[in-house]
Amino acid sequence: MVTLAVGTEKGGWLLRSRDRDAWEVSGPLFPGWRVTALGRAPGGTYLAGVASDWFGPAVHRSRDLADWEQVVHGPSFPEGGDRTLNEIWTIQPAGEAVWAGVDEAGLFRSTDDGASWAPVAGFNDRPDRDVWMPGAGGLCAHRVLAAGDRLWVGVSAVGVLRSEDRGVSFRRADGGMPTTVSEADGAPAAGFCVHGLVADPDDPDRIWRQDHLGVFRTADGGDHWERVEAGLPGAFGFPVVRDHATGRLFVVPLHSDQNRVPVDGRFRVYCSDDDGDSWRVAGTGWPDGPTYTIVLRGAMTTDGLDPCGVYAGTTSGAVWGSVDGGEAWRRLPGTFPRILAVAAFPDT
Amino acid sequence: MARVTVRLPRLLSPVADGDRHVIVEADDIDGVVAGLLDRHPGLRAHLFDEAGRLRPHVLCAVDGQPTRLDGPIRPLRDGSRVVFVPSVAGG
Repeated sequence: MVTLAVGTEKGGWLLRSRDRDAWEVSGPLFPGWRVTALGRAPGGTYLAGVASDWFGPAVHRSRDLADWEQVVHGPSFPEGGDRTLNEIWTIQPAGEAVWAGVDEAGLFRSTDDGASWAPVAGFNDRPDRDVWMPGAGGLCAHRVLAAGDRLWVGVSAVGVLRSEDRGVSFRRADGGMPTTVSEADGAPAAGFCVHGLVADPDDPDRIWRQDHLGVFRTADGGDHWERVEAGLPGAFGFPVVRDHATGRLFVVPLHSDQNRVPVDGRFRVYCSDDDGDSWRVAGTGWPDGPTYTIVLRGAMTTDGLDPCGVYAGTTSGAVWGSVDGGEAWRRLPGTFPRILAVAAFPDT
Repeated sequence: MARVTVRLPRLLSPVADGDRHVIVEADDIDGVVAGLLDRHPGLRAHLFDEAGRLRPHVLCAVDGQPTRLDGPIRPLRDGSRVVFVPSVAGG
């Protein structure tokens, strides 16, 4: 049994399947709200980040994906300050905690399955924040990787920050990366526009990065990055995910930052079986006709089953999936509003 | 104290146990807001920002008179109506 939770501009939906062949759609959840992040806390509680242009963001909790309750003490910047919390961008469990990355760039931690959240001062109060700048999607902490006491937080358009002490302190992890801004004397403190991050759980220093300026990898936790784009029709894109059983990587290449569509309308997921040394179209099943749609950074995921399921939700409201590790792809049922987030919950 | 009806936007009714109308007894508008948030604390994050200001795209009216809740407001009476609505734009 697998449940895909799909968050969109206007509500959320669930796609459930016992065999990953026949899918049943239910919803909407949170009608009228943007569903911007979906995840599961270590204790099993499901979490959803929602937002409204009028009424701001909130985190909701559920034990069964059906009945949801808003968290009263959700992520929030200190009252009386000038920093506003606009959106929950990612919800990432790690060990006994769950982390939330938000816009305006902030990091929050819960140790009670999302019932209450505390700000991470080592991140939120960094002295170099005054030179941080937003990307097109805002100034957002949108990716969190965690391994033991170590954390990596991706921020647009700032870069990757790494902590070795569970978020007490952070340092830059953009070694060798190009920047989207003119580099002044010395190392720039911002302008590294990371879009997607995924790490090898068996060696967390091995990280792949879909960046504004291309696809990169590091073997030392971000001290040195190298470009890995051979075979991609375009280096721009948003998500990168990995089948950890086989090591296969997946990205969705787009034409360029100025033209954020698939090259020639050929919507395809690409994959790499050699850690990014080379890329090819992932399997078959892709549309023959022009398909100018894209996959946002939070809208691609894997289910961790064997063989691995890989799922991508598009800005045109389609969910594409493969349940054989990325070889045979098809559209799953439903056409939804613009998809912002996709999460897979196996065994539900 | 005046018995006041607070009307909420449809999008916020799930935060108020499904209700769009909440009866609050209070002496003034500050008491109305306090009573509303005491009963439904999840509304605070949706109606007010971190600085405690009414969110910029939320409108409030007391007995038909728009207010940002930061200036003088006519006295409440039994039957007064406080309305929170989302601003409307576009075409």
